[in-house]
Amino acid sequence: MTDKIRTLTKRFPWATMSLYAIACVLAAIAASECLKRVELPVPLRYGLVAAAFVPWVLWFRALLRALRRTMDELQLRVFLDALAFIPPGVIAAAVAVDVLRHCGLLADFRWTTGTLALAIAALSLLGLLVSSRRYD
Amino acid sequence: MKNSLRELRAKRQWSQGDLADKLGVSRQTINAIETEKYDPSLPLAFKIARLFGQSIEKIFSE
Repeated sequence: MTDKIRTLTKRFPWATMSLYAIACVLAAIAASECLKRVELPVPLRYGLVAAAFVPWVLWFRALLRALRRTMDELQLRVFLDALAFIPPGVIAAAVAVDVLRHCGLLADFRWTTGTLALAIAALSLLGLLVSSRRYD
Repeated sequence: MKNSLRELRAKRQWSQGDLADKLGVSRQTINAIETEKYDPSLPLAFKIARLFGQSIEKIFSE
């Protein structure tokens, strides 16, 4: 049975990753609902939060495997080049936003998880565009 | 790094897609190697050499 599952996850890496993504959302919803509705002792609450992260770990592992299985060496290199854009890009954006706030512009801007995710997505796309053009 | 991949492929009348399929890589990779924008890894260079029946040094040179 486990061999069959292993073969299926190898044959369909992106489907596996999608299933884990669904599991992540379901686990997050279940954990937050549980925390809201049920009075649990503190260690159990921490345990519940930690358990909700397990599908995220599995999703991340499935993502890495899917990338390795479906991309060739140049595509992986382009992808890694694109990822390299993110840390300096986010730092530059944070500094730029800070400077603009000191100048009186973007006074209402606050970094949230959403804006950070948006910045990372935009930088990844920009990175993919720049790094794939290098090898075209 | 210079290489004679384009000439070797042309001799066999293979398209970039044909060669990519035989090597298990993307067409973009073949194009990048032929235009010398990308140097293949050693395992891929060995695959190329084996496919064309030549040594790596004959296909790739500095």
